[in-house]
Formats: sequence, C-alpha cells, structure tokens
Amino acid sequence: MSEMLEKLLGDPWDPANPVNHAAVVAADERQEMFAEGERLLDEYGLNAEFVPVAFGGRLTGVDRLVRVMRSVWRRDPALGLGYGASSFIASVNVWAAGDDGQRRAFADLMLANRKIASVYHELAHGNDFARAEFAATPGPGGRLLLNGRKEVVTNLERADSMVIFTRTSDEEGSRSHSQLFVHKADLPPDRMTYLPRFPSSGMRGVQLGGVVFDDCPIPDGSVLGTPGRGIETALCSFQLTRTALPSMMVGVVDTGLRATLRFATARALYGRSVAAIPQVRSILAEVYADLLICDAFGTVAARALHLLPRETSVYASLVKYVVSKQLIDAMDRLSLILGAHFYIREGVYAVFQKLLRDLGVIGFGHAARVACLATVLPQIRQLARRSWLTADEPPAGLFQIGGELPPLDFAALTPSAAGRDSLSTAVLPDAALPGEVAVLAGLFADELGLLKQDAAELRPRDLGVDASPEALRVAARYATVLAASSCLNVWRAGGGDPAWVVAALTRLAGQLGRGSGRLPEAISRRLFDELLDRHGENRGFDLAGLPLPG
Amino acid sequence: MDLDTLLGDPADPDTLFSYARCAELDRREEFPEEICRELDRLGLPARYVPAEHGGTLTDYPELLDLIRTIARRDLTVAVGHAKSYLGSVSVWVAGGRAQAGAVAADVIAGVPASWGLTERTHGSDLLAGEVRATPVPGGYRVTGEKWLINNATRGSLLSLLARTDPDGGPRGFSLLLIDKRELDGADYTCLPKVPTHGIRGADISGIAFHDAPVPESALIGPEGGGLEVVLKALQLTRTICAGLSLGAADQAIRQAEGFTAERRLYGRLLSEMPHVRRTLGEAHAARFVAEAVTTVAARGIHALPSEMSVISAVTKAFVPARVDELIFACGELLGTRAFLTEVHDHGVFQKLARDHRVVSIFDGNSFVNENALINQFPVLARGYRSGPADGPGLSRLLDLSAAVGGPDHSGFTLVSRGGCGLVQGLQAAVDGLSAPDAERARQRQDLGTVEARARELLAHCDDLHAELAAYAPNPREVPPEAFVLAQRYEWCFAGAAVLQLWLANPGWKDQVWPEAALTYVLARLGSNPDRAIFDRLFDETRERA
Amino acid sequence: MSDSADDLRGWLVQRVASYLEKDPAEISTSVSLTKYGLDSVYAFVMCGDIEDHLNVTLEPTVAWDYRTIDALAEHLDTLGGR
Repeated sequence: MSEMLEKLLGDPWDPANPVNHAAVVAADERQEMFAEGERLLDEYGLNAEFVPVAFGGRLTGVDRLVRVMRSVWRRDPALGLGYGASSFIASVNVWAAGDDGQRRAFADLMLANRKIASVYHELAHGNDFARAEFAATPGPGGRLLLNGRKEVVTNLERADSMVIFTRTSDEEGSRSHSQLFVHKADLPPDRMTYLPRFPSSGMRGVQLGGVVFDDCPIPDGSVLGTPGRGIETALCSFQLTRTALPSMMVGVVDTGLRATLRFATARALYGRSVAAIPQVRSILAEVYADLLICDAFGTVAARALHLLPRETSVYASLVKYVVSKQLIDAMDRLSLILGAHFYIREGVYAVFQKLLRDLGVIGFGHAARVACLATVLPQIRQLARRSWLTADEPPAGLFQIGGELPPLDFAALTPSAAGRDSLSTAVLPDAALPGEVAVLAGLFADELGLLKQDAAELRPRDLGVDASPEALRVAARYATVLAASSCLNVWRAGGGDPAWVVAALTRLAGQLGRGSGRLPEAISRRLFDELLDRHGENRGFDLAGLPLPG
Repeated sequence: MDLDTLLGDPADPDTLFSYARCAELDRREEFPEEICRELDRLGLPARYVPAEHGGTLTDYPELLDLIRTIARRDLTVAVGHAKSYLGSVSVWVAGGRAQAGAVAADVIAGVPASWGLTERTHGSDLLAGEVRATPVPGGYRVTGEKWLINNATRGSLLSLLARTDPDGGPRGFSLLLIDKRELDGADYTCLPKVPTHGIRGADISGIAFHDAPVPESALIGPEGGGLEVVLKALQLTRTICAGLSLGAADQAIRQAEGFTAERRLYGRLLSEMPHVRRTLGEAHAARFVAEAVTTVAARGIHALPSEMSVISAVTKAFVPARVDELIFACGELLGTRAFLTEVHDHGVFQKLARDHRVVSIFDGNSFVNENALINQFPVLARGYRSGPADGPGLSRLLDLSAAVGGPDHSGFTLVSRGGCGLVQGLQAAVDGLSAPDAERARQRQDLGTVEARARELLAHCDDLHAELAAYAPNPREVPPEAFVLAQRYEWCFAGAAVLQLWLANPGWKDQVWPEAALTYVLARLGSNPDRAIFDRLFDETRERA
Repeated sequence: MSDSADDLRGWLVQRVASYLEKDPAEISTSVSLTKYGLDSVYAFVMCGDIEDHLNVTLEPTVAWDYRTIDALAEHLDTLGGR
C-alpha cells in the first residue's frame, strides 16, 4: 500500500533522509537515475503494482495504483517514469493482448525487478503512430525480421525485454500493425544497435534511448495477440496509460504546493509572512482547487476502467487533456509566488525547478494534448446523440473514492465508446443539492445542452485530424463538463464541506467563460485554511488526504 | 548597423555567436565571455551610454531592437551583456556630470557594471535591505551582502543600494557607485555563482562587503535618495526587459514555424492543419500586441517620461507573461522537440523556454508591477475622465515617423500625475473612427471590423475605469480583486496601444494585424470574438515570408 | 448480392461522399476507404452512422476489417440488419 511505500521512502524534506529532495536534485544534476531511490523501490517491489493479482502481483484497482505511484512521482518524476511508468506502459499491451505464456513471462520479469521498455516512438511520426515505418516482415524460413529505428524510448538500453510496436503488413489501413514482446537475450547481438542517448531538459536522469534494427530475427510467437490488431491494442492500452499517468503526476503538484507553502510561511516580505498576503493566499487556494479537480477526474476515470470499460476510450483521452494543462498551469502559478527562488537549482526549494522541468513531459509524452481531443472527436456526434442529457445514471461505485472494484477486464476495453457516456449526464443538478452547488451544476447542465447542439452541427471533416479549432473546442468543453461531473459526484458520494466542490466547479466554469473562475472570498479562505491544516498535519493534498511521513 | 548580419549565421556552428556554442556554454554553465567581447568590439557598450555623456544612446526604440536581436539568438548573452546598462542606468538618471562622464568612459571601454539591489532574505522588498553604508568623514563604510545579482562577480562597477539611515524608510537608503578596482581585497568577497534553471551561463552571484571604504563622491544622487533613483531607473530597465521577451518570442515562433512547415503528420504538413494555423496565427497576434506595448514604452521614455511609472509597470507585467504563454503554445506544436536538448538547432527552444522565465522575475515580478499600478488607480480613474494630460506628447509617441528627440533621463516621476495618456486617448481615437474629415474617410476604406473591435475595447475600458474609480485603495491589504483589475488594465492598455499606433501610422500594417491583435486582446477581456482572424493573419505572414 | 446490399451500398456512397465533401459520383465502391483519406478514426464516425441507420450494434472497428464500400455493404447485408 501507499502507506508502506511512503514509510519506506520517508520524509523528503528531512535533511537526514538519504532519499530526500536534495538527493533527488543531486541525481538530476548528474543526469543519472536516482540509484538509492531505485534500490528502495526494488526493495518494495514496485513492479508488482503493475502485475494483476492473478499473475502474482498487487494490481487490483487502477485508482489504487495511481495513489501508490503518486508517492514516487511526488519525490522524483524521473523515478516515476524511469523506474515505474515505462514498464507499466509496456505491461498494459501484454495484459490486453498477450497469451497466457506471454503474460506469465512478463509477470515473472516484473516480479524479479527487471525493466521492460515500451518501444513505440519514432521521432519522424510522433503521435501518428499508424504511419510508423518500423517493420517486422517474414524472412527466409518465415521468421520475422525487424528493420527500422525507434527513438526517445525510456529505458531502451537497460531493459531486459521490449514491447515493440511495428508494422506487420504493407497494406494501408488499421490492420497492419502489431505489438511484439521480445527478450533481448533471444536476439543476435549484431543486428541491433543502440543510438546515443537523447538528452532532455527535464527527466534528465531518465535514459531516453534509441535503437536501429537491421534484419534482426525474432523468435516465433513474439507477436502479442492476433497479428494486425496492433492499433486496436494500442487504442485500448492507451486508455490505461492516458488515465493513470497524468493522474500520478498530481503528486508533482502536491510537492510544488508543499514547497511553495514552506516558502510562503517561512519568508517575510513587506513586514509580514508571504502567506499573509491576500493575493498569495488566493493563488494557493486556487491551485489547491485545481489539484482536487485533477484528482477527482483522474480517479473517476480510473474507476471507470473497471466499472465502465466500454466508455473509457473517451474519458482517458480527456483526462490527459485536462489534467496535463491544469498541472502545468498550477506549477506556473506557484512559481510566481516563489519568485526568484523557483529559478535556483540549489537550496531548500531547488526541487521545484526540477519538478517543473520534469512535468514538461506531460504535455506531449505519450500523445500530445491536441491528439487527445482528436481521438474523441470522431465519437462526439454519437456521444451527443446517444448519451448527453439522456444517459442512465452511472453505477454509484464510480464515485466512491477508495471503494472496492472488480478486477480489470482488458477484453472489455474497446477502441470506441460507441456513444456510451454516463458520466456527463450525471452533472445534472437535483433537489438534494445545496443551492450554491446546484447553481454551479446547472451551468454545466446548460453547457452540455449547448454542446449537444454544437456536436450535431459539426461537419464530417471536423471529426478527424483536419478538425477546425472550433471543433476541437467542442471536445475541450466536453472535457470540462466531464471533469465537473466527476467533482460534483465525488462530493455527492463522499459528503462533507461543499467548499471544495464549489471551488472546483467555479474554476471549471471559468474555463467555459462562465464567470471569471476566481473563488469567492469565503470559499477561498476555507480552502486556504484547509490547505494550511493539511500542510501542518503533513497530509496529502489530494482527495484521500492520507498522512505523510515526517 | 545591422547587428544580426555582423554576427553571422547562428545556425552555422563555426560562427562565434552560434546556437551550437550557446548550447555548449549552457551545458557547461560558462559565461559567454568571447561572445560578449565580440559585442564589445562591435560597439554595443556605447549604445548603453547616453550621447550627452559620450556614448551613442539617443533612441530607446533602437536600443530595444539591438537587445531583441541578441536575445533572439541567445537570452543568456543578452542578459549577460545588457547588465552593463542596468549597472549604469542609475547614474544616467541621477548622477552628476563628472560621475556620469567617468562611468560612461568605463562602460564604453567594456568594463562590466552591475546593479546591487536584492538581498538573500528580502527579495523585492527593497526597504527591508540590510546592507549598511555608515557615514564617516569623507564617505561611507559599507557592510553587508547583496545576493542574486547579475554580474556581481564579473562586474567592476556596482550600483549599490545601501541603508544610510539605520531607521531605514523611503529616505533611509542611498545609491553608491562602488568601483571594485579601488577597493582592497579584504573589503569584499564575491559569493559563489548560483546555479539557475535557465541562463545557466550568466554570472548570477552576490557580493559581501566588509566595512569597505567608499568615498563621498560615490553617491549617485542625494543621500537618502536611493529608493527614488532606483524606482525611476526601474522604469527604464523594465522597458528594456520587453526587448528580451520579444527576442525570445521571435525565436519561439521561428522554431515552431520551421518545424510545422516541414513536418508531415497524418499525411499532411503540420502547417496545413487548422489548429496549427490557428495557434501560429494567434502567436503572431500575441507578438504584435507585445511589440505595440513595447513600442509605446520605448517611445514613451522620450515622449512621455512623466507617465512611465504606469507605462513601464504595464510593460513589465504584460509582455513577459504573454511571451511565456506564446512559448508554451509553440512548445506544444514542437512536441518532443521542445524537450530534447541536442536536436533541432541544438535544442535552442528548450533553452529559450528556460531562459525566458527569468525575465518575469527580473526587476520586479508581476506582483510588484501590478502593485505599482494598483497604487495609481485613483489617478488613472481621474485621468480617464479628462483625456490625455499631454496630447502633443502622446501624438509624438504614436507617430512612428516623428523623431522623438533625445531621452530626458531626469524626467521620470514616481507617480504619473497625468495618469496614462494612451489609455485616456482611447475615447478620442474611437470617436475619430467615425469623424467626418477627409483623412479619416480615406482610412475608413480599410477599417474592416477594426472599428467594431475598437468600440468593444472602449466599452471594456469604460467599465474597467468605473470599477477603478470605485476602488478604495488599501496598500496594506491589497485584495486579489485589485490584481484582476490591474490585469484588465494591462489588456486595455495593450488594445489601446495597438489601435492608436495603427491609426496614427497609415500604411504601417494591413488591417488584418490590428483586427487580429484586438481579437487577441478582447478574448482575454471576456468577449468572445471570432478567432478565424488568426488564420488570416497566419496566411498573411506566410505570404510575406 | 441482394437488393438490400445495393441500397446499403448507395447509402454508404452518400455517407462517404459527405465525409469527404465530394460528389457521390466520384466515389468508387471498390476502392479502399483509406485511399480516400478516411483513416482509422473516421471508421468510428462511420460505424456510428451505420448503427443509427440500420439500428444494429457493430464492432467499432468494422470498417477496419471491411475496407471498401462493397466489402462493408456485403458484410452488413449478411448480418441481416434490415
């Protein structure tokens, strides 16, 4: 559990802790993975979090996985990606498409603390992975031969095995690609050449590598699932990664917020503490509200993977779209408070600039934000027709933070939701809502009605990659409604002080041009007080608010 | 001189001032010594020195252009070199003739100067400064530490803000021109270089004085006048910062345009995809607006120096923030390439993205500048009702063909009694759009939707000033709403700058420019204008390319 | 091939023409939809439209597996969707 991991990693602000922020920053300066951190994650057996219970691991719920991984990300995003998430990204392909033997082999590697690289990216094609040139073609004797290059791939060189996305047919269309699960030990050493590492401005310790294959034979039985189904497998696998990764990164802003609070409460300016300046308080309260929005939307989408797997092709992409920008904006606003101290790579607050650089990966890593909107657009008219304002209520368990979940059913994921969306309609207010909340919920219900008209009027060419900015905006507004519904219903299910949900909905409404997005003074004060309490009590800033070490 | 041509092709690694070399210096965190020497050789330092003291600075718009040209290649170099202007500007503002002459000679000779304002525990709170200059016969003894000072170690000259009255207060500080060459080694210690997020090669360090003797002649301006001199000098340097931002914007757009014009995705060029055209068109509009604001500020130094307390605060709060947004938007188009440090012109994009973030921090961040605006709300509200205080000055500022005359470095004031002529002139400018005279009628042929946009802007501006008039100032407890008002003021100012520059200079730009620029402004003021104009602007820039 | 397959083919030609903003006469029923630039994501648009038209439920990837209008019409006909 995340409590165990937190305990193992200790208080990152403690100068005596060998895995504190200063040590993380030092590893970044050396452009190395944080060795002591990796050792502790080995000790904890982090990889088991990515392996379903049926295969000997601890993967039960994606929401739980996200919570555990936040403990890593809030300390060191380079560990989050370079130790954790990259194997996770590879793994979902195997759970989604692999046969029993492949899954077992994968699980065994993971449980032995090995690394597995997810080999998708080609610099020349980026998000347009259907045009990837890398090819596996039958050679003499029918064995597949690999040819081509892959670039900017995490852990490529130090991984024992790889999940490779490759073209397996010359035909155009969407049945010409496959994933391969390949162990390096099975490859002839002279057919595979590593490219020099790609240095980057953030995630500097992560080994971003490249590789060129030249007629490299791979063993029979390397293809995951039915050959030619690679794009479908990818579209299903992305639903896990696009949901889970941005949601893990909420941990980054948790630390960003903590660093800023430490600064604001310790530092005096104009004769009083920075935290006493009204504008500073207001920014901190808003960032806190934004963090809760990210957590609510990400958590609901994670639970939907279990409860509504046929709907998540939509939610996952929109979580990535919303959460990535919210988190980047949050860090930027916090940097205003830190002023020159955010710019310094040494001292107490040095972790902030590292987090800021690392977080840069969120905007494009694993799909650009606009590509996420474009994934949803083809489905949007159908979603509007079949679900918006009329869908049945989603299962109540969707909104129960921490509630039990059925195991993931990878076979139930589909590349298109086919018009199914029960989350957006759940934003409609009912009589039980307190007035303030009902008014805000009404704004989103109204927006959903407008979106339904706007979606119906989209031209066919607006449904693909040639979409107009206005069409993309329809998808973006829809994403905001989904985020609002997540917040509203998580609060409905959990109860308690409505201040945070009022704040969250006010912020989201502002993004739709409904109001300024600024928090009313009373709400802002309640959020700020809560933030100070949690900081003082050393608890997480997310919805769960669990105690942290230190 | 065409500085860019003189500096050679930045993409060629054999050029001295190349992307490749700047990337390498950034990796090694080394000061761009050779490149700065080359800029010295090309006579740049004399550009920092007013003509009356023997330099060649007669025209701030020109100086901003030079700084922008350097910043376009590399912000670290621009920051590292222009510091000599920052280090000497207080002398131009308040120094005596003899003092200015001596400093001028040094600066022109390439002696680096720096400006010592901030301290480790006080940041922008200058009145909390603890460095003491204790009066002694014939001068002062200086003790204490300045930190996060650009060029503190490399600089020979240092304009130092020090407490001359132990009780402090607005008249308790003085500016001293310290010449390290005249001090003994035991008098001071340079503090280690501070490793930074961007501008990694710059000399960001500090200096500690240990009872250092400083002659009375080192005083810049009167004793006790330090804060006032600094606040006036900041009106100049905050304007200069906009040049850094514009250079960064140029390079960011250049990188995004170059990449999207070559990159194929989904079977087409990225630059053919509607959202890419929209994003780049909006980036051009944003840069044009930032340019308009910067032009007003640079010409304002000459034409309306007494209003610079407003103009420079708007410029510093507005321009770097817009350029940070522009860089983010361009970065989204560049994707992975915005993250890698050795591909695509040696990672120039990720470098400028890191480097540029310092510009908002320099010389007062947005809180400080917006506070300065908030403090002037009453005079801005009053002035809005009475129109520009100095009509001829405003006309001279706006007419780009008019000579502005040499800068008057003694004309700055801490509060603009006349408010802000530019914003106060908006009503008349909009009225002029429908005036019956012939000149306007001719122009109206080309007005397009500019007129409608202008009226919308005016409506926002009217509403804003009604709220400014109702605002009860409370300098201790500035409520967050006041910052929202200040930000709306910046947008209104920006719109007013675009519109009036365009109207005052027929033939300057096609009407698509003000239309797109006003659309950009209005969208942020809460209107919902048709953004398709950004696509037209993108096409326009492509045709001209 | 049955009459209903012909009807369906005609309807699909209309749909594809509308996606491409072209004259239906320019659409060949034997050319792969990918060749017309209808990529993997348009398949989901088309699938939704077919479902609504025929009141059936289809795999969203149906147009990935049946890549021409002819192949698609024939497949849909065998489903007995009308």
